This record gives sequence, C-alpha cells and structure tokens, in this order.
Amino acid sequence: MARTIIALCAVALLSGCQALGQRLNVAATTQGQANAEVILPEMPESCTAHIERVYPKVGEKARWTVKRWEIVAESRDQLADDCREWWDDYRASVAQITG
Amino acid sequence: MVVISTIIRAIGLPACIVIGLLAFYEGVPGAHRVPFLSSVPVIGNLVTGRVHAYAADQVRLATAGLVAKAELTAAKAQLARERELRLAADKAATEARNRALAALRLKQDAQKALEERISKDTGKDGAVWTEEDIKWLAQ
Repeated sequence: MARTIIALCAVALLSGCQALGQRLNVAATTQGQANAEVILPEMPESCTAHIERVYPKVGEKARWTVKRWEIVAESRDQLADDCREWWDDYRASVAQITG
Repeated sequence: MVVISTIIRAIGLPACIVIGLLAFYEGVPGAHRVPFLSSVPVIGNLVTGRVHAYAADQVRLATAGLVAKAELTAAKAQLARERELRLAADKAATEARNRALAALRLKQDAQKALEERISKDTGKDGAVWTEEDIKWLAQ
C-alpha cells in the first residue's frame, strides 16, 4: 500500500515536472519568435517604376504614336498588377510563417 | 546541564535521542518562520532540518540548467524564425525578378509586333506629325 502511494506520488511529481518543462519550452519558443527580426525584401522596381515616354517624330503617323503610348501604358499596368500580386504572395508567406 | 538531566530523567534517553534526531532531520517546528534565522550557519541547519535542506539542494540542482535551457530554446526559435523570414524575403525577391523579366518580354513582344505593323503601314492615309507639331510639343 505504502509503495503504491509512493509510486503514485512519484508519477504525479514527474508528470508535473514534464508539463512545466513543456510550458517553459513553449514560452521560450514564443519569446524567441517574438524577438525575431523581420527581414523585409527589397521593394521590386515594378512597384515604383515610372511610365515611359513616347516622343513623336516629324514624318511619323500620329496613330503609330498613339499605339506606342498604349503599349507603354499597358506595360506600366502590368507592372502595377505584378507589384500587387507580389505583395499579396509575400504577405501570405509571412502570415504562414508567423501563424 | 541540570535542565538536560531533568529532561532525560523525565522522558528517558531513547525518547530524547528520537526527539533530537527528529529535530535534526525535520527541523524545529515553526522556527523557519523566524526571519533570517535559516541564514545563520549552524543554527540555520538545525532550524531548516536536513530533509528540507536536502530537498532545497535538489531543487537548486534540478533548476540550475533551466534558465540556460530556456534561453537556448528561445535563441533557437528566434534563429529558426529569422531564417524562415529571410527565406521568404529571398523567395519574394526572386519572384519579383521573374515577374519583371516576364513583363519586359511581354512589352518587347508587343513593341516588336507594333513595329512590324508600322513598317507595313506605308499608305498615304493618316495624320502625320509636322515640324510645327513637334515644336509645339517641345514647349
């Protein structure tokens, strides 16, 4: 009877220690993660790139110039979309890490 | 001396030894509540009792590495987190570069197609920029 009680006490003590150790581990891990420095990526040029310019030349047709402008504008729009998608992807990946 | 011999005579030597041993191992009841008494070298040992002193030693031994271990765990977690974030940043940078290349290619293809179309546009129709236009635009 006494042995059983002693054994039970030992088990209770040990399990208490284990739970404490686990809690300490979790706390330490959380603290370390909170201390972690956030390494931000460089901002892509697509986010800040200015629109190119198309300069008309003497003898060229005006409609060519308009088309060239369109291409330049579309390219800038594409860069803007890229920047948005890039940022969304990056945010998602960071959210996945930090949980 | 008289007091001790009186006590021995009253309760007997074995009982005295038992009480003495009990005090040695378990400490004097209530004495540990007296402030700072347990810090006094010899008396402190008697007050605390062997059992409690031993238990306290064991606790100190068991928890000695606890702080170091926790700090190590924290440092490891911090390092792992920072590595993950750095990887994410690197991945984002690579992705941005690839996107920029794809966008550039798209633009160049469109420009090439347009220039081809322009080279075929040899008719007399359509407005043409004049020197006056350019002068006006330059201002």
